[in-house]
Amino acid sequence: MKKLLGLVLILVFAILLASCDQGPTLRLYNWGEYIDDDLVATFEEEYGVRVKQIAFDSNEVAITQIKAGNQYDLAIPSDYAIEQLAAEDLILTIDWTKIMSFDPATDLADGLSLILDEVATGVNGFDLLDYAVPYFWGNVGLLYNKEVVATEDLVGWDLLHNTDYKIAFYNSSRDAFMPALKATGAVSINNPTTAEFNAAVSWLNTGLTSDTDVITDEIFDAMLNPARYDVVVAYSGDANYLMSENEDLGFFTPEEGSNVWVDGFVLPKDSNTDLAYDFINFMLEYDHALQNTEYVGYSTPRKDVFLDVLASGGSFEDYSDSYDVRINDNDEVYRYNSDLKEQMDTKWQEILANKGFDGEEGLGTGTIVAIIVIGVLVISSAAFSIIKKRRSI
Amino acid sequence: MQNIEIKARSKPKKKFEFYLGIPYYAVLITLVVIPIFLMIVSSFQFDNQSGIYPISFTLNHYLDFLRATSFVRAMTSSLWIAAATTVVALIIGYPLAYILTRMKPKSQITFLLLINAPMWINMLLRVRALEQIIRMFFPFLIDSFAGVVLGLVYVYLPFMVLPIFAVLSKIDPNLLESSADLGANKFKTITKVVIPLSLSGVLSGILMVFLPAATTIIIPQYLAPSQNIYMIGTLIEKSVINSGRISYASAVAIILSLVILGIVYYIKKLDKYKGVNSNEKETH
Amino acid sequence: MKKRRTNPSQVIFLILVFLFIYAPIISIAVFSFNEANSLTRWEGFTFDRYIELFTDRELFNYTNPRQSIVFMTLWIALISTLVSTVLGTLAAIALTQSKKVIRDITMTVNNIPIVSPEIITAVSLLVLFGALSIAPSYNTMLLAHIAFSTPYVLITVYPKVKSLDPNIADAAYDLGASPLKALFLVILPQIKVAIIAGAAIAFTMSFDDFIISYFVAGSSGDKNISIYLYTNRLSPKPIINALSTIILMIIGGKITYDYFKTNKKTEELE
Repeated sequence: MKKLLGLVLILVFAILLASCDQGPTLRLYNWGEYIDDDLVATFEEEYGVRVKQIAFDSNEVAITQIKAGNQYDLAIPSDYAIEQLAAEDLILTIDWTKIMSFDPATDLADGLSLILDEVATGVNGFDLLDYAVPYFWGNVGLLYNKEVVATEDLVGWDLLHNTDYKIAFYNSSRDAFMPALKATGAVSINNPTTAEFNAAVSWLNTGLTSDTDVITDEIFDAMLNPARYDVVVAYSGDANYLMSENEDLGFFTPEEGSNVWVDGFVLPKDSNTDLAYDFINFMLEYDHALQNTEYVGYSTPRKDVFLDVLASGGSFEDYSDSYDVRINDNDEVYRYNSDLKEQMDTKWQEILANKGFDGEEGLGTGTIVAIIVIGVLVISSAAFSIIKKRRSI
Repeated sequence: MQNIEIKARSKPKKKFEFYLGIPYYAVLITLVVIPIFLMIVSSFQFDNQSGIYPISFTLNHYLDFLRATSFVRAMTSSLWIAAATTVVALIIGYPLAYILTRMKPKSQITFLLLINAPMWINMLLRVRALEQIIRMFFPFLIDSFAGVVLGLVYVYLPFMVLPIFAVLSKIDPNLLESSADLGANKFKTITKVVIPLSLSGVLSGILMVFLPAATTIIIPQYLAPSQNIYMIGTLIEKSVINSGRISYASAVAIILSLVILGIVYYIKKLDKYKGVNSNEKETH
Repeated sequence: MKKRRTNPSQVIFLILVFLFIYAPIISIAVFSFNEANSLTRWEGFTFDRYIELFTDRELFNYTNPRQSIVFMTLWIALISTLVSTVLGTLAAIALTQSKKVIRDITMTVNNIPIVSPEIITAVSLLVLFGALSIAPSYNTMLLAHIAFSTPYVLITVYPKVKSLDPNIADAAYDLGASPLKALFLVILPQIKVAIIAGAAIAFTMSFDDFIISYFVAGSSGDKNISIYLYTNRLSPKPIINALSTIILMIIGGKITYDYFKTNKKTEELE
């Protein structure tokens, strides 16, 4: 037994000692499964650089990690996270003279331009292009089973309240509150009044019952044929992918408005900028952008690629509902607002905690009984020991 | 004369052996004691504060939690789930331990090993395995109270069986014989002799099942993924991982600890038969 | 001598319980050979999953082990076991020479991480690392593992050290041995069994740990096997079944080894 342990020890030691970094390395911090690995491999070959990919599954985690001092050369967070990173001076500004394969003035897909302009204008305007190079963009909408859901029921976000269907919400505070705020008529998802916020909370409490589900990644499995849910809240890119795998699915964005978003390349402080710009240029070339969007399924920022895949013969010809993100006046981009985020996070957990109880008001009987029982037990046993001590004196 | 010599020589040994403990105490203090104090301090601070300074004070986290009826309900429902788990584990575990004691020593070892073995397997693997079986044969149990209890029993059953077995096997068979000799029937023997003598093992088992069951995060996430069974562990997990609100999580953790301490205190008070067993030495 | 008649209801009960315990485990093993990518439909027998498992770059990165989840889980288990075993054993020896007061306090404090629910220990460690501004990583995971393993080693080794005959150590000193020599040549060999038992417990606790590792390092992308299993629970990958089976086989091997060893012991006693 000892010998075996010793052998394992030596083996692991040897393997770990043998590891050493070869050549220049590009550390890419990205969402999981958000890039075509073949492209990465091609880049590694062409440039003689090793790409080390680290994954994150939420913007919050990404920000925390970058703040904590973990070193990355490139990261791909979302709009509001980019805003926060810029505000906290954690990323460098983009030197657009170094971007050769792409000109933001002319080459951006129209919808994306609208989004970027919207964020850049106004009192608290923030020009994302100062700090980021767009990577993918899209919106959030409703993915539904065309065979099951009647067309007249496609009214808007309130479809999620339709108990005739099997519903799933997205398990994230932002992607739960946005439909709620839009459905209850809030003016802005970034600055809801207390009344608007509370209305959204009620809307969510009504919608989330023990019969509805909350999901994130399960969507990829659940909406394949046969789809487990009739209606789910979904990101446009995921919808693209699922619709190509399951012909029964359709996607629509409610007129009340939705959240439009853009993810972009940012350069954290102390990034190896030469390698970073090489990679950005590489990914934004026509062929590579085309390959990436076809693999991942999200809308590409390059206008020419965008139009080509939507044209006849293009890969996303039949998926314009989810790929060609239409922006209307009610669509908004999330902005950096940490107080609101904290509020939404807590409330969302409360709503989830309420979910199984289906609208029972206040503390249920079970709760009250438990509190009484515990209180009585502890007090009585404490009382007994005090009495005992008194007796023995 | 000789005694003094020996004492003199063992003094440096005493000092040496004392110094041996220093690294351990260093680890104990920095990684066990201090974190607890820090956690208590942190629960009174605002979130997103880096470091302990400046020291702010707020009761917001505690108030927010206690005012949120859903969270208070989550805590008590976790306690109910844990209680149900403990009862089921007792119902299965006590007879199981009893049957084990009546076996031949060789079979005892075999069966003990078989019951013990799953404990060495990664808990996530076991829960996932159970989830698969449930989805295949009993899909109605997913997202239900019963399903979560079943999962918890599955994982923590050995923790109930082993202490009870340990205590039952120490019962002097002569006691059972003399009880029979004094005229008690089997039922009376069991209730008046066996159960009281095994009480400390039972209470030990209860604690070892109740505590982890009440604070689990894994089982509800695997067996109730639609969040219909929302447990207190889930809240702490989401606060830490998803929102990074460590001070809030600390406050919830402390409230949870206080409740659990109360329950543990009560259960320890029940243990009036500690050390009664003639074979058992009271060890600290 | 009363003849022990096998009670049929007892046998049925035993069978049901063991079915309950082992059915899921067996199904994992069986499905790891499944041809289909699903965890419920069976399509055919294949070793493909195992090949995929060993070539998966996330789990087994042979060129850069520090990025491999399996290697790092083993590495951290090894190091934390080493450190905690040394710390715990030395502390056990030191405790025998301490005053009763110190002993009692130490044992009480030592038991705190053992009896506390893991989630509370996890939050406390998280607060500590946050206060010291140590970023979540494999390093914090390692420290956390040492933190919770050491108490287990202490409670395993201490009873054995306590039961040693003090005269033997004294005799060593009388014969002129330095304290260091006495330690290595006299005390340690006698408690060898307990040390190994403590180390085994520490290793298992570290290798299988989830909650503490997840809180303390999970969000950083530094995962151990448990975190990997948890974060992949929503998008089930069949290689997980293969991974599970391998772990099962290793545990099974250890258990059978233990079984035969204890069998030998009881035979020797008889």
